[in-house]
Amino acid sequence: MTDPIVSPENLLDQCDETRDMALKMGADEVEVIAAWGTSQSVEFEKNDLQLAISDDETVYGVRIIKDKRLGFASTNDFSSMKDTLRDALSLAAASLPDELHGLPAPQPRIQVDGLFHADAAEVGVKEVTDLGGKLLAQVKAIDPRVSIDSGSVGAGRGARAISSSTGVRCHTLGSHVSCYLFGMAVEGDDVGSFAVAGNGARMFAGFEDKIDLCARDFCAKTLGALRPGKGKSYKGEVLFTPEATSSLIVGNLLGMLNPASIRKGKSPMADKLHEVVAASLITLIDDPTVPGELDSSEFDREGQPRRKQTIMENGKLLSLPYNHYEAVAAHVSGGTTGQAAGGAESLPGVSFGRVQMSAGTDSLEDLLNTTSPTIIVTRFSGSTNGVTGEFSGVVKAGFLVEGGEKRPITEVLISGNLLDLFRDIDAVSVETESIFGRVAYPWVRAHGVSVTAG
Amino acid sequence: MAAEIRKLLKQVVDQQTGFVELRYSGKTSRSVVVEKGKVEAASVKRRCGVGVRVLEQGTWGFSSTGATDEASITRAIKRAKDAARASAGQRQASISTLPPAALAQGDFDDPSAVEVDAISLDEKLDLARITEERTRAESPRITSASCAYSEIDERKAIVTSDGADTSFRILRPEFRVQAVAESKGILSVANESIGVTGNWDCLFRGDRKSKMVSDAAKFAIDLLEAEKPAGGRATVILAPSIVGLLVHEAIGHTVEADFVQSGSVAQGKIGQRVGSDLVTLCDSGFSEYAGGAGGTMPIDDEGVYTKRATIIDKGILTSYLHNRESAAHFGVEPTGNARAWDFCDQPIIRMRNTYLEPGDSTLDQMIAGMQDGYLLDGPKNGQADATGEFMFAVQNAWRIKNGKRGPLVKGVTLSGVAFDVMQTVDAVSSEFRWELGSGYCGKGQPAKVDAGGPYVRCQVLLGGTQE
Repeated sequence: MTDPIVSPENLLDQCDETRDMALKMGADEVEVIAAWGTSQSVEFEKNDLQLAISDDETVYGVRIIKDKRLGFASTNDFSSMKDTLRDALSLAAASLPDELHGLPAPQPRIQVDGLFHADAAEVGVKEVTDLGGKLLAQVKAIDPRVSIDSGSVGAGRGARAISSSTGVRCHTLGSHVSCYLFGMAVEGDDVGSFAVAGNGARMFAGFEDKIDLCARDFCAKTLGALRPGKGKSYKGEVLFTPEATSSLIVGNLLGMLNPASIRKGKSPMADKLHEVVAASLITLIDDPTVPGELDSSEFDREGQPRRKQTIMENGKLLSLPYNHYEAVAAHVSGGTTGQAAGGAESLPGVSFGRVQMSAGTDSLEDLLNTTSPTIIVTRFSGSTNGVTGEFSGVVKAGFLVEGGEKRPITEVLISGNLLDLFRDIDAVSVETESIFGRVAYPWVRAHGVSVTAG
Repeated sequence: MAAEIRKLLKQVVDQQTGFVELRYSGKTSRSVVVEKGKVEAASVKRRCGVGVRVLEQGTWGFSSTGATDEASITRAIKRAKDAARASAGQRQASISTLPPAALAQGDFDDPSAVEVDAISLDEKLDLARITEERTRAESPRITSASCAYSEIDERKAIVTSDGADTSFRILRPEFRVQAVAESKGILSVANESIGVTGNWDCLFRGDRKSKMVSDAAKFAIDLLEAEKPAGGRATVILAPSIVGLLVHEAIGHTVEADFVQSGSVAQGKIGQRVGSDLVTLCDSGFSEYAGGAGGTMPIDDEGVYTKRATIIDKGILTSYLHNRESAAHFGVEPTGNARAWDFCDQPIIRMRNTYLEPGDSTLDQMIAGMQDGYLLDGPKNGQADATGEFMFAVQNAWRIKNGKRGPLVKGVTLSGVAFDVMQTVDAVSSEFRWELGSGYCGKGQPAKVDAGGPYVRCQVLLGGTQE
């Protein structure tokens, strides 16, 4: 009894077969995507190994256009593909016509090296269990007060193939190794804030070092949040860690640049292309073509080649991301920018691939050596409104720097408007830190933020 | 379908040794989204397969297969057993056996699913299209609107080697309306949503559709002119929607037994006072007090009958939420809280319908008794910490002054430490609503849950502007 063998080539064959079947059943245009993944992992709970998992699955998605009407269906059972095509055709028949619907033509392929490493693909449960054991032991050796609520170590490989009636035919193979920890520090009656740490890579060799970094990062975050005191209410400077910079500042800025939101009148970034929308310290580049990186890939959700693009230079907005539909809707002369996003179970959306923020010129030591009270936002847990730009939320595992002293705080809220925050950034650190084994971000300081302490 | 698969699962389980749990899930998710007069998405997602969990050499092994034939399931069992054996040496606290439990047998189909099946795709799309059009027509200041209808139709079968042998079908429809208003270049947005376990009568009971349209448009317009509140400590009345968020996020998660064992703030607090006498908090697989709660389920994903768990009784912490493994650890009965989202997810401890029991005040009495404060309704999002510290963003907040409801304010977030806030509860209304049925809870995998309760008056920290 052996497992069925899945390869990028036979996935592409299945996509071709489905594409032809859909055209025979009456589709005007069709795009078929297949995604297969297999992984071996161990999960932790309550500071102990909980479960070992050996898994694999293939999912197929079909986008059909009939009389300029759109239908989409997905399944994880190839033998039921005819029913899936009927679902997509029925949805298209019930839908409204839209002249913008269509599929992109094929473009020349690009090659991105280092996305697949056989050593990661061939890892078994025993190897990930041993790594998991090391991760648990390392955390406990650093400090027994640190408690792991959940976590995992896993490795695997995946393939993706796309075939369309316009001639797009592509496939790719990738591998991954990852680790993740979630928990808190507990000391007597004092329970610290949640912390998350993780790391990842394309290859297994050398991953023990990343396990070690993950354990150290997790312990530093959880222990730093113990015994917090009261904060302070003021309006002024706030310092964001690389993790908070990535999630609150860059993440929300990129979200506002989604062309679908702009088209629907739901983004304050409409008509802002080639305008200054952030402080001159901000330069953002999307580059998913860097070899060997976890977020790199050769083609997007529509099989279009990835490319490097400058999003923002010195605060000036230079480009927006597009998939085929949004490029047609926005009359973009060059068409799609290779930034269609999503998996096999959904229609293509739009997203940046792998965004880097340029480091600044201020040392972290200088940023911490402040004369005015400054809250350090380690993690932001709150609400952001992509339509109005308003944000408000709790500073998690934060600190107050005041009078040369840095101490942990609790029950502190920050609020303001993201559009102001982007412009009010007045310092960016030289130092950068990788977020979960992915892109590295700097520390960022902004002024004019409302801080409310409980 | 699930009943047929159940027979196959039973046949496969009977050939195995040791503890084996087979769980079939066949899920069809339908969704239509209309925005600004366009059909933005129309999709059907079908996903089915069998999840296999085994207890081997004192630890768990898990595998799954998207194929539902005997050979594929047997192969998945072997992979799960191999995985367990390969990892057993690293487990410190091995599991010797699971406690006996009331394991379900038989079929438990929800008959309402058949009624929604009879409604055509055209009708569902028309519903979204017309509702979106009506929302835009509410006012010239509404510049954009959207409406989404979705449903998850799930069939499950669970068979274990120690006696569970059951199948059921659950239908969960949802409906969402969003309005975007604009004035002088300023945008504002308001959302209304509902989600139930049940049929369309349950989803759209009363005049809900029309109210969602008018409320979304009205709030989006009113928020254009609204001021931000000053930040600081405040007396507030939490509407059932915010009470639901509070009891789910800030208390419910801290009493999930796996999290308790990791050291959550609820550890060691059974029998201690964590709220005022007015606070009685429960989690139930049934739709208590009002019909259609979104997390309703007859059987959990370990095959255990669901039941009501009283977590806090008149202010005293009385119970955690358990699966079979944690129940064995704490020496109590499982509460039916083991849940898995898809066949490829393993069952973990999750909430179902979490709520605060109603009291005997009225909302008018509660407002009349306040000199200064806020009425908070319409959750936008929320998170809580291991410490019970929570943060919720609120869409609709009204100032209360001298016993009267005043104007809407915007950009409100509230925060506090859950057990501390529960101690400040001084009034609870008799009116009760389920409000979070369109929400999903995340804990590594999604879960459909619901939460709600009465109106509750208490003290919290409000985020806002500082001079």
